[in-house]
Amino acid sequence: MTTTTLGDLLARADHLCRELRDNPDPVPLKAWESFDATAYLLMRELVGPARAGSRAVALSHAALCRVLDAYPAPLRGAATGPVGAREAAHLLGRPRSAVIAKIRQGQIPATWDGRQYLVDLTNLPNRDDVRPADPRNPEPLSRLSCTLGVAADLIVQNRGQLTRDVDAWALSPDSATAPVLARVVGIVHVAAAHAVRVGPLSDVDRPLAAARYCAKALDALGDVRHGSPLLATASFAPPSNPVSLNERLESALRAWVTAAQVELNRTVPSTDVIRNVMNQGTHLYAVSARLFDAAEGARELGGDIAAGAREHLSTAMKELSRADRLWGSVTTAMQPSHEYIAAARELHAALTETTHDGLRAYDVNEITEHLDIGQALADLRYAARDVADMVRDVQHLPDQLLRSGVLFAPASKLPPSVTRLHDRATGRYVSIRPNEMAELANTARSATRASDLAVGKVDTTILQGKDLVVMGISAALTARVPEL
Amino acid sequence: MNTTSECPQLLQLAAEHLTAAADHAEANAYGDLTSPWLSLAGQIRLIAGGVGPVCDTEPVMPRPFGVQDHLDAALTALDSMPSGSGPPDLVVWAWRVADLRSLVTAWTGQP
Repeated sequence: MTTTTLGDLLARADHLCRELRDNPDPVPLKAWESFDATAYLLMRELVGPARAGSRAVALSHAALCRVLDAYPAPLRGAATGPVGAREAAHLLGRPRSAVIAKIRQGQIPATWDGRQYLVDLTNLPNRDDVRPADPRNPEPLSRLSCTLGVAADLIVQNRGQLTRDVDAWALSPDSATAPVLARVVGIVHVAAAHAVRVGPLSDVDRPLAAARYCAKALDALGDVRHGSPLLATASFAPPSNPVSLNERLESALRAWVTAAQVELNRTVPSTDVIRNVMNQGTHLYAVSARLFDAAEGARELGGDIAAGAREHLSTAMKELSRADRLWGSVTTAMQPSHEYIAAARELHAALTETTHDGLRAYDVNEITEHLDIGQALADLRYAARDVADMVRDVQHLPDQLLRSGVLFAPASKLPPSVTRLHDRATGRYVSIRPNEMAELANTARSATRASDLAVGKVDTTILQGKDLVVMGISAALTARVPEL
Repeated sequence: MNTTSECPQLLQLAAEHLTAAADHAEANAYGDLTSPWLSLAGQIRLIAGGVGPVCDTEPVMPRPFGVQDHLDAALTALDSMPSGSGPPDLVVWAWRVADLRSLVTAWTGQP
């Protein structure tokens, strides 16, 4: 499985923190500094630059910036990229006015983006000896550093997706960031407290300062026990040379989602692509429902857990199919791209092979023989969410395309009018008027609601399934504990 | 015969055959949303949209080998355009139609 989320990475970091508690080995200064620099990098990527805009937004963000600014003189081993004068001053341990004066004198190279000076971190004095942790190092603190480093990379590479997820939850970016930041600060607190506890005494100054900072920062962040959509944002690294069916399915799903998002973001998207997104969505939901059957048959899901998900998937399939047909009655006269067609064909092949041998449907045993169902369901779950996001985006398209006059249909299939007499007689396509396609917009909205509900149910079902597996493991562990 | 001037008509003809093939594939699913025919119909329609994005056809009556026949006819129309006279990616569209035709052949066991 090559898919992970920020939530998965922080769960792994929590687990490593627990491992640290039982580790009596002293923490070398180099290992601490590497962790320290990486943790700060993650916190900086989470908080982001200072914001302008409305007063309320600036004030809300200022609270998180203050927490970050209080970090004790950050080390900058692995950090790169531009920072504002405020952060440059923080990194150099100098007043902001002094840094701006040096920029104006040309002593610190900087650029002006119209609002503020931007200083490239590589132009500031650096601690070259602070290197990222070695991923091969088995020590818990090194593994923790690597985990936080991957989390920072995930945030940088998926910033667009993070913004979309936060918008979908109707939260302010800072409300979504605060719980995650608190969790990272908690992890740094545990690591720092551990480093102080195990020594060596000569190297505890920096961890001690970090531990004190973390205690204050956690209090400053306040009660942030609510969830965050940032934790669910996934990062994918599908295999480049897929061999097994699971690998081919994962690879095909990611390639198709990427190609579909590109196509739907075109100024005027192709209606053939929109139809195909609905069609592939129907296929993907059908395969998911079948795999729930197979998982129940293989006892990977207990009882009737998946019944609700199957029902919602079936409703979503019907709505997507309706939307597919209605989009077929109009056109933007745009061609689908070759890249999209290739990705769609790969996905069609992978999805079909998952549940069918040609036209013959596999029985449950045959599916479990050639597929890791848990992994396939996890991959399909993320793709189903992507389908729901795309369907949600598509629901606005009828209105936009109609108002722009770029949605066409045969004149013979539209309400007759004097201006269209000639077009009807000659079989021409004409631009559809905004009031002539109310059904398309309504169906697009129904499809959005149905796919959102289905995805929510699929998420719950898979998470319940995971809980059952965890409970099974716990039961096995309990059974091995000798009686007192 | 001026084949160059016939190209748009041949492309339109190919697109119409592909749309008809997709309709036959959908009819083969008999309303079953889990049928492989339905997803195949989506693939055929996508290629029809690439060959001719503006294409209106009448509903079809399902019949045996309707999908293969129309895919064959679309392929014949695309292949009848002389090299260099159609769109530059003509050979790619023909290849995609041939790919789907082999898939249908494998599914139905008909050569």
